[in-house]
Amino acid sequence: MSADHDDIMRLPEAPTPAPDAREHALQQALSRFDNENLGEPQGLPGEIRLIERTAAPVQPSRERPVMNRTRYLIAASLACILAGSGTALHLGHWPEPQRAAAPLERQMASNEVIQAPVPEAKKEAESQIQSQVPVEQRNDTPAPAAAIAVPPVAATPSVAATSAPAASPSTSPPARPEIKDRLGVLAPSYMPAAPPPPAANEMMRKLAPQSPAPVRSASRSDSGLARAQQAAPARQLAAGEFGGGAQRERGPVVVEPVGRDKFANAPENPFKIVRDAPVSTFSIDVDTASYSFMRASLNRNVLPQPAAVRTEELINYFPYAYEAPATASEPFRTNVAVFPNPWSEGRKIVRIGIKGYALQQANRPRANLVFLIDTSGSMDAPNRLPLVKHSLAILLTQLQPDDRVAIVTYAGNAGTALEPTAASEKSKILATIERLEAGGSTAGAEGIRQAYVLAEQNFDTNGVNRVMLATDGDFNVGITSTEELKGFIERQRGKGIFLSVLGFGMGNHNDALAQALAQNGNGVAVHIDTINEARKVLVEEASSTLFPIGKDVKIQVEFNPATVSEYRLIGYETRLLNRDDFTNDKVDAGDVGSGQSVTALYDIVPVGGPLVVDDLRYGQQAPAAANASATGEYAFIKIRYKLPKSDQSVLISTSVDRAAEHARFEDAPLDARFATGVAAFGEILRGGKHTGKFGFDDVLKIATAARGDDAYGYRSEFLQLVRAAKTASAMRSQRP
Amino acid sequence: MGIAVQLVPAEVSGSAPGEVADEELVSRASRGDRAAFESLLRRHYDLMHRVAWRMSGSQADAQDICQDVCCALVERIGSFRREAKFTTWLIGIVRNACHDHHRRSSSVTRLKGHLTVLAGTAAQPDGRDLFRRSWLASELARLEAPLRETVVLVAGEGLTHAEAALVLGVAESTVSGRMLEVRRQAGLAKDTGDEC
Repeated sequence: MSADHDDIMRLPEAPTPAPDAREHALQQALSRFDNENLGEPQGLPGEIRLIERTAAPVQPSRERPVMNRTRYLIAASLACILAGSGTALHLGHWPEPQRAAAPLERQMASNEVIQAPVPEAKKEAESQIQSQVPVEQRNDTPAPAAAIAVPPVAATPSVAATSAPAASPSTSPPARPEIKDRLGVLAPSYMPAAPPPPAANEMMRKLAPQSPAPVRSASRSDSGLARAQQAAPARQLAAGEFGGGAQRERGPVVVEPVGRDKFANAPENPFKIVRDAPVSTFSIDVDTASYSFMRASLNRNVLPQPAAVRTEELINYFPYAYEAPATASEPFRTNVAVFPNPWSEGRKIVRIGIKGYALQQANRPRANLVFLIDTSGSMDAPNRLPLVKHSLAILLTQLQPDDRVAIVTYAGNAGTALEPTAASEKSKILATIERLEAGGSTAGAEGIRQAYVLAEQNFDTNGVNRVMLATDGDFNVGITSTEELKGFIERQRGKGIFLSVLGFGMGNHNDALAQALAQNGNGVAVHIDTINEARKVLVEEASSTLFPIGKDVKIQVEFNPATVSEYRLIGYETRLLNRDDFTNDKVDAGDVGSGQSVTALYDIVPVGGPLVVDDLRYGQQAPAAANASATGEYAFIKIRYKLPKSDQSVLISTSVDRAAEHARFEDAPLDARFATGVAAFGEILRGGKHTGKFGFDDVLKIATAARGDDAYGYRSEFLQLVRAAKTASAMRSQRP
Repeated sequence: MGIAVQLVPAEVSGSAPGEVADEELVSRASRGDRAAFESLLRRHYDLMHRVAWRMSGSQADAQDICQDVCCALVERIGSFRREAKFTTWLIGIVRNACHDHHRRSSSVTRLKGHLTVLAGTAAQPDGRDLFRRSWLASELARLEAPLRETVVLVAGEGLTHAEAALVLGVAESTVSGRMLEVRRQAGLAKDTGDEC
């Protein structure tokens, strides 16, 4: 295999075509070409079906045609049984082209009523049809519209055929007597034609002029219809409008789209030299979407795409029992630990844990929520809209009676499903949720506007105003410019209306857009793949999902060159900030919800440790420690945050000194060890650039030892995922 | 992948300086010019064969498919609307014929094949078809059908993503996504050979 990115894979060299096969094919084609251009009355030789089907673009799901044909075959065999053995015999006599043009199965299948009485065969009628056919064959004009509109009904053979060979197709067919339907059931092409009862016979004579080219329509109307349908996509193929799949009915199996997921991610942060860049600045990220996505992928026994893994989101998925701040006036408390790096001898990990103040239920602000629900066709899958409904019902249980809820749906055009309603009217809200149905395309932008209008109408200056967008992220109609959407959401954020994104589904999940929208809307982006995840996000973490305690939380870490020579921030690649962004209050950053914990890990090389980046030959020598008093410190951490209603940022700072250091990895705090295991897992999934030989088994060892209390079973689930990843990667390497 | 042979860049079929352009031949052929039709077929038979063979991995199948396509072109040639390059359009037809062939052979030929194997009358595979072996040994054989046809069109025939999307009847982004996936799978097979 070639590692070259331009050369994807070596395709096997195709053999030279055999000359005789080529000549044969050419002769075949040319003789056919001659026939075609001579305008031979026998028309198209036997394989017209091939041509027709060749021309039709094959729709993406390939089980359809097979299913269809099976159905036809079943119908055909059933009809054959009813019609008796004579049918088969008769079929043998039928002129070959006719049969080819109108496949038996199709006709049989089109005639759905099979219980019609089988009348006695009538020789004359039969011969009439026989003689009629070649004539019809010759003037092979497109089937008249009327014939298509009335497929099997026009199947009354003998009478109509003789009386109206050149009927006008423009006349619309009148309602036909029932008896005709019955007769039409057994199409003449493969049945000894039936003598119509006298009364009907009479009636049909009258009607005959209006029935266009009956034999034709009898034997070909259905195929004509099929042809028309097939010809349309065929023309599209030629016209370059491929993808006629829309007109085909959908198979019973819900097929997940593949490979249309979009992710926001960047390559892993590299090691930086403290002397060159002593300051590392990033915004907090409390999203967890990446974890759920990874889990959904691993549960299908597939390793997630490296781009889908954001290590910090994996780490922050888990609640950590950090020491909580005592009062709401200082909403954050920092917990620092330094301990040896388990995957690299001589390196250390600096864990920075931040715990937000947990609001009490009593002094929780009122919530004004607008659910914006994507009900486009793509949401019509078990893991989408139904899961959205369950999730909303779950969230409803967490609301206070005076909280307000509104629901806006969007599919094609947006509409308000539920005007703002007090959460106490549970049954009304639940009934609305229950009625939601998927269908149509997605006009995400339109829906967002309407949702914000509702939120604004009901704006609560003391409460939390939030739009919660539930979508699979497939915005394909309306304003598709992400920038424009972002700008809109940003302005709404300025007015005090925040946005959270609940992502659903897989395969076409637009993670990148969800991230962008949530980040600009001061909200979280979560990905809900199971009902348990919905419970975690919307029940156990409802207060942190809904009620922010600090916004624009930024972290700046300054490393001490006297103790640390290199450092690397694990994760947060999409959240990096410039050094001067830290003090600039205009720069947006992540938000922390009530009671939420955020963890960041640094992989550091202490002075004297194994350097990752080579020294420069012409670089200046390391200056002696400038500040003798600070030699004991590893780093200095500054956190800036704004209270939810404030535009002024507040600074908290703390130093990382030797007191926080643990000599052995095993002595490090439980949470720190677990977070390290998760970080290693994320790094391995992303390619393991910095984790060396550290494997899934090592992750298991660390995480198992650090499982701790695990009240909700999240950590146990993580262990399962590591095992799943192990199998998935083993399977991958076993491939022949 | 030792057996796999480096891909020969798709020969740029079409109008060499002294030659009549495809489009011209098509319009002549659709007016009933036998010679134009024949030269069109001769010019592109190799292309058809190559695509069909890469998709199916069997020379016999590729020959059948090409014959089907040649015959089908008699009728279809008039419906070429010049919205795409003729070769692109042609590849679309070959691709559909491959599907068609596969579908037919799944029902009838395979049943026959199984029966002959059961009856013990089937010829033993003699392993002389080196091309078959190279195909089976290549990454191509292990790709799922949608990925395979995408890579045959894009990498094999040098179609742009937009053209391939046209042929396959999918969105252009889908083609790009599939190529990424192919790249990922190809890369993974190499990278994880000794891991775990």
